[in-house]
Amino acid sequence: MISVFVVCALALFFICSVLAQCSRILGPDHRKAIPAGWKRLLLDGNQLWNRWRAIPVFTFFSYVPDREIWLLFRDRLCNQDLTPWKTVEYECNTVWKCFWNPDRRRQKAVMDLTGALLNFMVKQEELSLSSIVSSRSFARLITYTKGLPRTRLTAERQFMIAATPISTGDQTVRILFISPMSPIFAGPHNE
Amino acid sequence: MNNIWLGSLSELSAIRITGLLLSIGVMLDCAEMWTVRRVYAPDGMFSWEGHRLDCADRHHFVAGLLDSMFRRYPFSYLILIEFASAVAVVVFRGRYSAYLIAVIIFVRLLSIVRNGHDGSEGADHMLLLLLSCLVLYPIAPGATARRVVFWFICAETLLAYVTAGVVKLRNRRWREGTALQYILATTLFGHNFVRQAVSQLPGTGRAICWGVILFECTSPFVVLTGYKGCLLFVFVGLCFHFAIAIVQGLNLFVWVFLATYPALLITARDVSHWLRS
Repeated sequence: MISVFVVCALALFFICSVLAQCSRILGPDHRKAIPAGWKRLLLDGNQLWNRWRAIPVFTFFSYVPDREIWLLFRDRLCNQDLTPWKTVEYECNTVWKCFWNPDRRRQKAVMDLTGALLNFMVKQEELSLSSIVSSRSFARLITYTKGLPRTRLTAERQFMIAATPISTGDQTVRILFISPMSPIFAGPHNE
Repeated sequence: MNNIWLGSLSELSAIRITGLLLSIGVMLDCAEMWTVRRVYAPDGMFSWEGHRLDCADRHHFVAGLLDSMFRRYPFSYLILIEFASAVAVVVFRGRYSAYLIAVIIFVRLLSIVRNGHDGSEGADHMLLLLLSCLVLYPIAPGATARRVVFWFICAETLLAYVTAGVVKLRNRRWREGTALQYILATTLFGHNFVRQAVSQLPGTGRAICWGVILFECTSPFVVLTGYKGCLLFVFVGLCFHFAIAIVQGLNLFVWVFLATYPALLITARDVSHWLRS
């Protein structure tokens, strides 16, 4: 009985895995060619029955980035002066990181959260600052940037998401989002 | 003539090798998280305060329980429990490994609830999948059911490679061979030296792009044609994942995908037996 359960559970999981990959493999180009009933199952599956991402979707580096996203922040000091924008730096990859790369989750999370916030803004039909501010990605980014090193004169902090094109020689920086100033409450300063 | 090494790889050895490689991967991951545990603090990138917005109103009892737990105890406790369990899996050599791995799975699921999927990678999904298989293996009572666990790992691994390969094949930049230039130019997944080397050697980028597509798309055919094909695949796969780890710093992928290879070898051996008979 347990054997049957194990085999059935694994078979079911594998079928779900194949279905979950379909949305990525087929993509939007084939949307018209698929019957309506299958469309929901195959293409929208990851939004319907795989919302919790229990079934993995494997697309390692299949989408090629055409721009690099940067997270920057600046402070308003007690005397109302604004500091210059500072970039949240990523460490460059070295051979050593093959063995030891503790910062990779933070760096990837910065990329994921900035991407999620930009997606959130694109998907909103009526975009308002209050809806952006109440989003999870905004909450995490503001919490993170406020935790970055600051001076004892820092009163408020805001962040900016900017993009630079990759490999085209064009160094134009596009500003995608600037958050409102957020107060820094009394606490340990780092600089 | 049968390959001696492959012929002598028993199910038990395969599952132990998989468990060992995964435990090393988990230990490494925990040690790295411990080093940067500051990011899990209340004002860090992975603060519970930032993530609880998602969980706040859904299931009151569970949310309340998790909320009080994550507020009260720092995330570093979970890291320590996971690390200790992974060490114990190696030390006890399979005696209590199913229970210990179940603890690791539980802690990793709690970590997902606490931190969300931000910052996670494909290796995390595969790691959880493999750990679940390691728990299922001793539970499965019959020889066939145990064998199915290996076939499942093999099928999921090949599905991962094929999906990544087919989606790359559909992408114009991968087909043109320029994808590598774009990826290597990013700060997060790039490498200056390799990017310059690829750009200075004409045709290298295209060759690597098509090499990756071919490796990933043809994986089921190579593995399932028999043990020689599988050994070739394992060798190329080792080089592939080490190269990615060196160039892009994705070190967890190495341990996790290496851990799937014993299952590939077992399945390849079964397939070649079927083909012969």
